[in-house]
Amino acid sequence: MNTGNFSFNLVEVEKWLTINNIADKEIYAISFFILFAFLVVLISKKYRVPIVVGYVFLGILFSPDVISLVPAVDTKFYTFVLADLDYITQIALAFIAFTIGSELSIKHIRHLGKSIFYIVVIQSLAAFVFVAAVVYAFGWPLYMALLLGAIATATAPAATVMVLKEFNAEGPLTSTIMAVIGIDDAVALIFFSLISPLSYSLFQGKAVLHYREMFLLPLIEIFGALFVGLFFGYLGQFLITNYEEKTKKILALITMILLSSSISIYFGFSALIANMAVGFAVRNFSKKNLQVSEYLETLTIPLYALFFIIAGTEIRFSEMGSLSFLLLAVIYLTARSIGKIGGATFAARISGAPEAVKKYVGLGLLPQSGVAIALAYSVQQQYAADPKIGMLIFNTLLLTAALTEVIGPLLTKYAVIQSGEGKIQ
Amino acid sequence: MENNIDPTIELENLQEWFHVYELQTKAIYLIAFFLVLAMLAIIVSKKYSLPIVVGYVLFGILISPDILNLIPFLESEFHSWYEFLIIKLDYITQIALAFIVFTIGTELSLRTFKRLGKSIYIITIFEALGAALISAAAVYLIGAPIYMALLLGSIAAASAPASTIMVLKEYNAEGPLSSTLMAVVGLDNTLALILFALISPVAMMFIGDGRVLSLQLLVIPIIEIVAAVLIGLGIGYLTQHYISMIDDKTKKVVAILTSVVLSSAVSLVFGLSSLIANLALGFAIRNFAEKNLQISEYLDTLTIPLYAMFFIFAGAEIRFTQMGSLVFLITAFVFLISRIIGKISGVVLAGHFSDADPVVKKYIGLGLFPQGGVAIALAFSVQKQFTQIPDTSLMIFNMVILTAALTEIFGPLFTKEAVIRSGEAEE
Repeated sequence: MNTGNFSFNLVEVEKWLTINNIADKEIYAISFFILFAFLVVLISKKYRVPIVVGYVFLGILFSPDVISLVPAVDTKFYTFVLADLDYITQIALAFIAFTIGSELSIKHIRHLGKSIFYIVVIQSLAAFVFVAAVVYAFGWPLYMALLLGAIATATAPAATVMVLKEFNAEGPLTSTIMAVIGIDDAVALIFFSLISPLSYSLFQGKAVLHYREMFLLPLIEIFGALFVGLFFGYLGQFLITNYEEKTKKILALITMILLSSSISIYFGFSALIANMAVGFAVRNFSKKNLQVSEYLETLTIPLYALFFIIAGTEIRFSEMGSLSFLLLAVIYLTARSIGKIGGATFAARISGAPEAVKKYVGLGLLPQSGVAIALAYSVQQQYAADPKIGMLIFNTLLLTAALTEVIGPLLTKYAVIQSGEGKIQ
Repeated sequence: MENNIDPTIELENLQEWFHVYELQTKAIYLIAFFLVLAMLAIIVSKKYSLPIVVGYVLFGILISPDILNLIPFLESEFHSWYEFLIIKLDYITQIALAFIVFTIGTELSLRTFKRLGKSIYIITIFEALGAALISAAAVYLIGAPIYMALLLGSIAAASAPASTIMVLKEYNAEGPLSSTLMAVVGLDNTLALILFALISPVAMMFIGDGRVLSLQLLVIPIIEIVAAVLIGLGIGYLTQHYISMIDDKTKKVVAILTSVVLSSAVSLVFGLSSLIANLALGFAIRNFAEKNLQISEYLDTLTIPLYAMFFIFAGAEIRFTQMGSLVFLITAFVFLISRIIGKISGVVLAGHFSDADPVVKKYIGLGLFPQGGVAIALAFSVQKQFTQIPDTSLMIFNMVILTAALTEIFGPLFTKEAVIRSGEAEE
C-alpha cells in the first residue's frame, strides 16, 4: 500500500472529522437526498417513468457542478461528503448483484442456456469491435480505441434490474436479460484484462506482454468470487431455512451478502460475481421458498435510492465542453449501442431464442456505469503519462453513464411492456 | 457551512488520503464484521432467552478496544483504524438513535391509554420521578459531582420493555397488570427523554461553562423541547396523512424514512433535540392516523440491521480500564439499588392516589427494573454532548451499560415473580 506523504495523520483526521461535524453533515446530505427521493418517487409513479430514471436525474441535478451554482454551499465540502458516502454505493451494488443471482433459477436457464451463451459472447464481441473500429477510424490512436472497445463490453445491471422488478416482469425475456447483464461484467473484466496490457505496450511503443496477468489474474478473480459466493450462499440458505424468526432471517441474509463482499474485496476477487453467486445459491440450493424477497425489497428501497442518486452526481459538466470530447462521446455511444443491440439480436436469432427475446433483448443491455467507470478510472491512473487521453476516456464514460442510465431504463420498460412480460399496476 | 476547517488539512488531500487508505473498503469490512457479531448475538441470546439487546451489547463489549488489546497479534495500528472508522460511521448510530425513539413514539397510543384510565399516568409519574430523584440524591450523597447525579437521575427514569414483554409472552400473561406495565414502560421512556432534555443544560451549567442559574436557563430548554415537539408533530401529521392515502409499498417506505431522517436533520440544524422530535413524530403518526397505517412490518424490517449495529456499537464503547476502580463500582452499585428503591417506592406512593387494580399496585414495581435501549441511547448522547468532561461522561456511559446488562439479565426474574403471584400467568 502506498502510504503517501500526507501532512496529517490518523489522529488529526479524526479530530478534523469531529470538529467539522461530518456526522451531522452526512445526515443533512442523506435527509436531503431522501426527501427529494420521495418527491421523485411521487413524480415517477405519476408519469409512469421508471423510478431509477428519476433518481439518476435527481443525482445529476445534485452533481457538484450544478450545486456550485448555489452560492451558500461549499462545493469542496459537498464533494467530500459525497465521496465519503461511497461505501453505500458498494453495498447497494452487492444487493443488486444478489438480486440478479437470485433471479437465475437453474430450471429457467436450462432451456435458455444456449441463447444466453450466444448473446453474451456475440454482443460483447460486437460492441468491442464496433467501438474500437469506429474510434480508430476517426483518427484516435489505436491503443485508445482498444481500451474504449474493451470498456464498451461492460453493462451495468442495476438500473435494468430495478425496472424489471418495478414492473414485476417475468418470462424468457426477463430471465435472459438478467442472465446476460449478470455475466456481462465478468466478460468485460476478461476483455479488459486481455486488452489492457496490449494497449499499454502499444502506448509505450514496445511489445512486452505478460501472459500471466492477461489470463491467470482474471480467471482467479472470477473463480475465487464464484467459490466465495457459492459457499456463503449455501450457508445462507441453510441458515434461513432453519430459522423461523424474522430477525434471524434478515440478519442472516444481509450478513452473507456483506461478508461475501468483504472477503472478495480483500482477496481481490470480483465482489459483483461473488454476490451473484450468493443469490444464485440461495435461490437454487434451498428446497423450499425462503420468502426473503419481501424483506429484501423493503431493505433495498432506501439503499437503491441513495445508490442511483449518488451515481448521478458523478457527472461533471464543467469538463465536457470541448468539441473533440463531444465527438468521441457520440461515436462511442452510437457504436456501442449498435454493437450491443445488433449483436444481441443476431445471437438470439441464430440460437433459436423465443420470439420476445429476439425482438427486445438488446434494449435491456444499454446502461453502463459502475464497472465501466471503474475501468475508465483505472485507465486514467495507468496512462498518467498522457493525462489528456485518460481524461477523455473517463469523461466519455461519465457522460455515457448519465445518458444510458436515463435512456436505458426507459428502453427496458418499453421492452418488457411490449413483450407482455411486465405489467403497469 | 461554517468556516472552522482545520487549516492544516486540505479537503482534496483528505479525499486522496481516504482513497489511499481504502477507507470505503474498510468501512464495508467493519459493517460485515458487525453483522456477523449480530448473528452470533441473536443465536446466543435466543439460546439463553435473553433480550436481543443484551446479546448485541454483550457482543459489542467483546470487541471493545480494552478486550481487543488483550489479543497479542493485533497491531496497534489496527486499533487506531478501528476507532477511526467508528467515528466515521457515527452518522449511522445517530440515525439508529432516531429510529429507536421514533419506535417508542409509535407505541404511545392515546386510545390504549384512555382505556387503561388515568392511573397509568399517576403510576408513571411517581415511579419515574421517584427513581430519578432518589438515584440522583443517592449518587450525589456519596460524593459524585452534581452534574453527574443529575444526568444519571434522568436516565434512571427509563425502563426497558423488551425483557418484560418477553416474560409476559412466555407465561401468556394477560390482564390489567400486563397491559398497564406495557403502557407505563412506554410512558416512562418518554418522560426520561423529556427529563434528559430539561436537565442537560442545567448539568452543563454546573460543569461551569459560564452560564449561571437564571430564568433563561430553565426557559430556553423548555422552548427548545416545545419546538422539537412541534417539528415532530408537524412532520408526523403530514406523513400519516399522506401514508393513509396510499397503498404503494415504495412510497410508504420512502415516506417513513424521509420523515424520520428529516426530523433529525431539521432539529439538528436548529440545534434542537432530535430525540424529542422523533419521539413526537412517532407519536403523531400513531395517534393522528384514523386507520392502521400498516407500516410496522416495514419499520421492523428496516430497523433490524440498524438496531443490531447500534447496540453493538454501544457495547463496543465500554471501557473496562475505568470500571475496575472502587469509586466506579460503589457509584454503580448505589445507582442500581437507589433506582430500584425509587421505582418501587414511587409505585407504592402512586397506589395511594390512583384507583388502579390492587394487583397492579402491588406488583407493577417488580416489572420496571430492566433498563435497555433508551437508557443506553441517553448515555450515548451524554458521551456525545458532554465532551468537556470525558472521564465523567465515559463513567456514566459505562455505568449505564453495566446496570442495563445486570437488570436485563436479572430483572425478568422479578417480572416472572410478579405475574405468577398476581395469578395472571398461565401455568
